[in-house]
Amino acid sequence: MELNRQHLSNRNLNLVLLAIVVIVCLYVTPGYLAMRRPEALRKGPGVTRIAHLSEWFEGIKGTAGDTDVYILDSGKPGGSALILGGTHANEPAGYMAAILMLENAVPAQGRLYIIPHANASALTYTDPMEGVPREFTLQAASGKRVFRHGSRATSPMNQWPDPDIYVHASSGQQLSGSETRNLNRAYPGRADGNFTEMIAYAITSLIRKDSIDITIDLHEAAPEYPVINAIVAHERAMPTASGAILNLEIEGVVMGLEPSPASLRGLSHRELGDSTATLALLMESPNATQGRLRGRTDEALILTGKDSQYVRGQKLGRLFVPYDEKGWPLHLRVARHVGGLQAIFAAHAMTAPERAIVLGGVPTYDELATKRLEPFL
Amino acid sequence: MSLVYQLLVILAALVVLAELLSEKSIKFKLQAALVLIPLVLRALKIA
Ligand SMILES: [Zn+2]
Repeated sequence: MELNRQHLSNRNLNLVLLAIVVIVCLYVTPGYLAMRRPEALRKGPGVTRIAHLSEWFEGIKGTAGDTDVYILDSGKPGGSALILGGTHANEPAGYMAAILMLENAVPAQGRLYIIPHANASALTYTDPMEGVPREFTLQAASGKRVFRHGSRATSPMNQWPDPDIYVHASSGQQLSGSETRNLNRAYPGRADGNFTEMIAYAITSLIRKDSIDITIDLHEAAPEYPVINAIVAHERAMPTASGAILNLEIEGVVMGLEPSPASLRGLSHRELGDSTATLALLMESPNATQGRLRGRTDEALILTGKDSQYVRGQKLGRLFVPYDEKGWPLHLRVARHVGGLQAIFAAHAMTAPERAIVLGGVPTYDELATKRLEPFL
Repeated sequence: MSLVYQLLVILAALVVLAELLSEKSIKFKLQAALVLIPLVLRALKIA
C-alpha cells in the first residue's frame, strides 16, 4: 500500500515536470522563431530592384544564407559600389548604416548594391551565455521600428560541427575552429565549401559578374580592439581611402587609415581586393556591446554605448578610442559609417570621374549626429 | 543543421528523459527537467 502511494506520487511528479518542460518550450518558441523572420525594411525611393544573393550563386538558394540585395540604379553611366552590412550581425552600426542608405539614397550617377544582412544566418540567433538582447527599438519617423541583433558568426543550426582548427581554403592559414563560421574569414569563398564559404563565394561572384568598382564592408569593434574608428583598405584602394579620410577631416570627423595586412587572410579587404577588380575597404566603429569589459548588456547599451566600465577602461589607458560618460551612441556610429561612405564615393569620383557614384538623399554626418537616426528611418 | 547532429541531440534528450523518469531524488529529477528543455528545443530545430 505504502509502496503504491509512493509509486503514484512519483508518476505525478514526472507528469508535472514533463508538463513544465513542455510549457517552457512552448513559451520560448515564438521568440526564437521570430528571430528567423526576415526584417521588414522600407524600400527607399532609390531602390530599383530587390534581388536575392542566390542570383549570383545558385548554391545558396532557399538556405538561411540567401539574403536580399537592394539595387539602386540611377540609369545613368557611372561606377558601381557594393555596401555590406551585417557581415557580423552583432555589429549594429554596420547594418543600420546599410539600412539607412537603402531607405534614403537616390543615386544620381552609377549603381549602388546594398546587402544589409550579408550573413543572414548570423542574425537568426544570439551568442549563448552573453546576455545580449535580440532586438532594439527606435521610434522612427515611419513609426515604431524593431531591429534585430544577432551574433558574430553563422548559426550552428546551419553549419555544424566546427573543426578544431579552421584552415582557410586558398591560403592554408590556420585559425581557431569557431572562425569556420565567420564570414569575414571565408573570402573569397568556395562554391563547394562549407555554408559560410558559399555565402562568401556568392558575394565574390556578385562583385565579379556585376563588375563592382568599390566594396565597403561595414563593421564595429570592441573599444579595446586596436583597429577602430578606421578605414581598412586594400593596397589598390589606398588612394581612395586616404582621399576619403581627408574629406572626413574637412567635416571634422577623425578617421584612422589601416593598410590591409597581406598576411591576414580570408578578410573582405584582403581577399576581395586580391581576387576581384574591386577596391576593397572596411570600416570600424566603436561598440561596447561586443566588448569584453562591458557591464550590463541591454538595449540601452546598444543605443547609447554608455558603460561605466568602459569609462574606467579609458582612464586606465586600455582603450583605443576616447570613452567618456557620453558613451558612443548608435546614431554617432552610424553617422561615421554613412559619412565615411559618402567620403569614399567623393574620393573615388576624384580619381575615376567616369566611374563616379553620386548619391542624393543621404543625410550628412552632421545631420545624423544632431537629428539622430529616427527622422531617416 | 546536419542530420547526424540532430540525431545526437535526440539521443541525448532521450537519455535525459529516461533519467528524469527513473531518478528517485526530486532534486535530480528537477535537474533532468532543466537539462531537457534546451535539448528539446534543439532537437526540434527551434533554438
Ligand atoms: Zn565585424
